[in-house]
Amino acid sequence: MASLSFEHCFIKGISTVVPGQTELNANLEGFTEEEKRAIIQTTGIEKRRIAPAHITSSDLGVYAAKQLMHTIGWEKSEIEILVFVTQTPDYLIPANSMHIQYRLGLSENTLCLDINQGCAAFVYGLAVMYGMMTSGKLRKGILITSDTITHTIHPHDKSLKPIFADAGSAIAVEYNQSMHAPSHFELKVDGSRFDKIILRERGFRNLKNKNENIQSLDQKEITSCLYMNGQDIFHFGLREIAPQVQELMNKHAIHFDSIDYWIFHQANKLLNDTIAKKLQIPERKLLYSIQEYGNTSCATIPITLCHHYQKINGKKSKTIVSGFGVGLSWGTAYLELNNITCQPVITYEE
Amino acid sequence: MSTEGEFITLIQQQFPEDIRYGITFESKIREIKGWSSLQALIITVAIDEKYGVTLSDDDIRKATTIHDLYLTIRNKMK
Repeated sequence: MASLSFEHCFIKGISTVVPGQTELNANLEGFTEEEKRAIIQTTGIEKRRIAPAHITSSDLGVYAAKQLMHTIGWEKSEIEILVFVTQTPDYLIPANSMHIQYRLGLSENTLCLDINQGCAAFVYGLAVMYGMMTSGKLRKGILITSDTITHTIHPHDKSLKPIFADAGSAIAVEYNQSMHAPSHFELKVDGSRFDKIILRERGFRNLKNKNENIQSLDQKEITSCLYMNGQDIFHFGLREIAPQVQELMNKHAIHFDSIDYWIFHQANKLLNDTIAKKLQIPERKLLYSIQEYGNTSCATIPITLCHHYQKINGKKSKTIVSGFGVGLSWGTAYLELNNITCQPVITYEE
Repeated sequence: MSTEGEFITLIQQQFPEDIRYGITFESKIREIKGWSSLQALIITVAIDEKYGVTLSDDDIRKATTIHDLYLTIRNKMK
């Protein structure tokens, strides 16, 4: 397991933006009342924000980043690194971070990098940011975790449609040698299960367009749309997350009682509740946003922080965050949040 | 592991009242009224919490009857 620890990197602020269009799971078309009730009860998802086709992950990310920089008073010229984590980039080539550098008006000296990650995006992205900023002594950076994952979902996919939603987050990260800000990360991957969440086409392994009939879902997997084996992912989460959290806590002698907030990837409330029970986490410390925003892929952890901004903004807390899913990959981090600027979730305006 | 009786009760409790009493060891899982992928998750969690055994997707896929599920869990606990 990759274990990383840092001393002088910390989050300065977080901003999250969601599209304006809301879909209610209670109004899902093609589902019986019983099915809708079961979905809401099991997943915990009541509402989802859906981006129109012309709004991309970079649009949401730029919007969030501009709001954030304005709020915390950072100058564009100060940003030395920009990491964009997404599974739904605007283009296959070039990477989102490249054109975002221009759209945000950042310096040509900015280190720009994209990471293809989903459910564990926040943890992986932050670990990479902290590592690069520490080694390069880069003082200010922006991490963007943004996806329009609903654009990959077949319109008739009854498994994925009620779950996924769109959002983009921007996280301001600072490196300051005079500040003591311990953080710890545990990161794992099991690539043998890479095909449990997969979009087979649009990459270069399957170049030939199969001209699938997208009006039919007779096939188990529509290769031009996102496929997820939800059962397997659920079992994976149930099996792997609690031990990883336990390992991080043991390794760094962190007491469970000292943790103020726990945020798990917002994919399924039943799953998170069960993980929390295994770890004996008090309900009041377990933060959720899934009811309001669904599974926003890359953005679930920062959107949860922003959803609970009253607990986070300007306050001091010790927080465990854990993301798990595509890859399959999973990552858990211990973060000390100290006087960060955490804005309420904002709605994207064109 | 608890008795077969306790196991069947645990499974029954995961279904609505109008369905649960018709469920027996011989019930074919996928033919139980109200069975769905979400129901499978609920049962997975109940088994995990009761027996500390996390079933895989394959475990559920391979089980035809409730009894098959019981045997799978018993084997995993050995």
